[in-house]
Amino acid sequence: MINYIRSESYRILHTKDIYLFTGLMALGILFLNVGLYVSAGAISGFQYANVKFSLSFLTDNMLFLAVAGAILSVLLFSGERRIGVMKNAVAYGISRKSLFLGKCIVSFAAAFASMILLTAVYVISAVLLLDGPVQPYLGLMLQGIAVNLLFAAAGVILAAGFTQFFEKELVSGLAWMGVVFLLPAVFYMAGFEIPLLAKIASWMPRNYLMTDVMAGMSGYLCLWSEPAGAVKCILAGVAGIIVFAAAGVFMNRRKEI
Amino acid sequence: MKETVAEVHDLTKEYGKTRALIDVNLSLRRGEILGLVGDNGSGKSTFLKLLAGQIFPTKGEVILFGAHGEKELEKQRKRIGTMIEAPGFFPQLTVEGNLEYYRIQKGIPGKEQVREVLKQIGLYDRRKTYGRQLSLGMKQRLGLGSALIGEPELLMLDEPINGLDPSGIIEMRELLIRLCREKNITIILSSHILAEMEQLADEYCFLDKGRLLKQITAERLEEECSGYIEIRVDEPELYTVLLERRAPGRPYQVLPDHKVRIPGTAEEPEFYSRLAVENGIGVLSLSVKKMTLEEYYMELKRGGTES
Repeated sequence: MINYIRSESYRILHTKDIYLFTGLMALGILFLNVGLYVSAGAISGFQYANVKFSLSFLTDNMLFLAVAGAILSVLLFSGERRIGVMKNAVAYGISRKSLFLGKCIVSFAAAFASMILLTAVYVISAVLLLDGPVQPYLGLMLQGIAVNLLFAAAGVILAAGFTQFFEKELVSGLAWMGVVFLLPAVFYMAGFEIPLLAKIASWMPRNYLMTDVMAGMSGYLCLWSEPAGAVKCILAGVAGIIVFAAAGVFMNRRKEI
Repeated sequence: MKETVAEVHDLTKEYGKTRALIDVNLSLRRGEILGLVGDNGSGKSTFLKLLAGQIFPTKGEVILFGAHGEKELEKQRKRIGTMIEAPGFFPQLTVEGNLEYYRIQKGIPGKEQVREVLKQIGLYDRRKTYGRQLSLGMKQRLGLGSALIGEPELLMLDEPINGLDPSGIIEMRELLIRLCREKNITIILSSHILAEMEQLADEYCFLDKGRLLKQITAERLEEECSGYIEIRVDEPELYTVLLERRAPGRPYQVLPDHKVRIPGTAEEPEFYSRLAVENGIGVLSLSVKKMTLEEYYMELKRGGTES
């Protein structure tokens, strides 16, 4: 598996996908902060050109970490079956389990490196261009990233599993959205009738990030600012990693290529 | 006795109700080139994919280098190079980058082998070209190059000369023969171009509709194809009785339209025409023929050639 990870790292560093992805995301972030900065000069009484508002975008949408990681994972490994490289790896004796776990590790490492860079662009451009105090908003956002990173990793693992299993990227993407967004929504709705499902739903990131996190101009209310909330995010992330990794190994163990 | 590199027992693969491969038994010895001959859908690619572990058998067993069982086979597959169906490579990596990718994946130290393989496959001057910019023939060469990284002991190539120009075909042929003779690499080769196969294979496996019709050495095949007389007589039943008396043990086949085929007799047509004439049997025509590999395969499919 180590050699597979090394070869994939070589490929990723020598192709454009990761650079394009990170570059486009950085442009998007810059566009947001520059947009706020320009608006402050162009619109009188514009109240949103501050660090508090800018950072609330991510703080309020921590699931975006998982979405971005999954997109990157699909981008890096999509079409492997179509271009015939997966069959070569299998024919060379790399087990399907090693392939899957290798993809998870490489995807997460790439997504993590990209996230560090993008967070730096986000924070530095916000601090340089926008007004207002940086703290406690920066601290809350970084805490949020730290505690939700595990679920982001779980999202990457789920994406890697689906990308290996399904031939088409669209199907992988829809399946991923189904598990991360649709399934929790169904549990949430069903929870109004069945208390047990409500309990389960409350541990699903899409649900607790929707109900227990609020960030914007009116203030920051973050689940992870209390130890119990932070632990909940971490435990949900660990559970996600275990469940999605087991599912990925199981799904792909006898997959024909 | 040469070592058996690969063998399969009762190998069967079903896709739903479709049987792609049915109870195939065969073995392959070190340093041989095995030619897989068969039409589209005869099971050639399925057979190669089963050996490569890309698909799983419905029934039966694969043994590679004496090992069996999925875990052990995975270990032994590190000794194999494959190009099955289309060559697998990354279009956004250069030729050299693709080989480097496989070099790292196979844990080969140093970059010398990449250069050596680039020269072997004739793409050294194109090493900086991106995979997506290659012609079909060059893609085939790159596919072969990926398979050669790691100096495999068993090479499995599915239609390797697809898309190659005439000089490319000659180069590929020479390379495969050299790999086999000099490095003692065992090669399994499938191709539609049977004339090309005839110049390479030491042994043949004829497949039809998933069944192995025959496994035969090139020497034996040469004997069986060495030539035959096809005589058309007005009384074929009587002629075969005479044939059994005057040339006991000589194989023959009775074909439609009053024809009798007598293999291995291209040198003595007079004897067989005289046999008919002297016994009052009218000879309608007599021809001396040599069977090509295509004809042999077609004959096998019709069930006309003895096992």
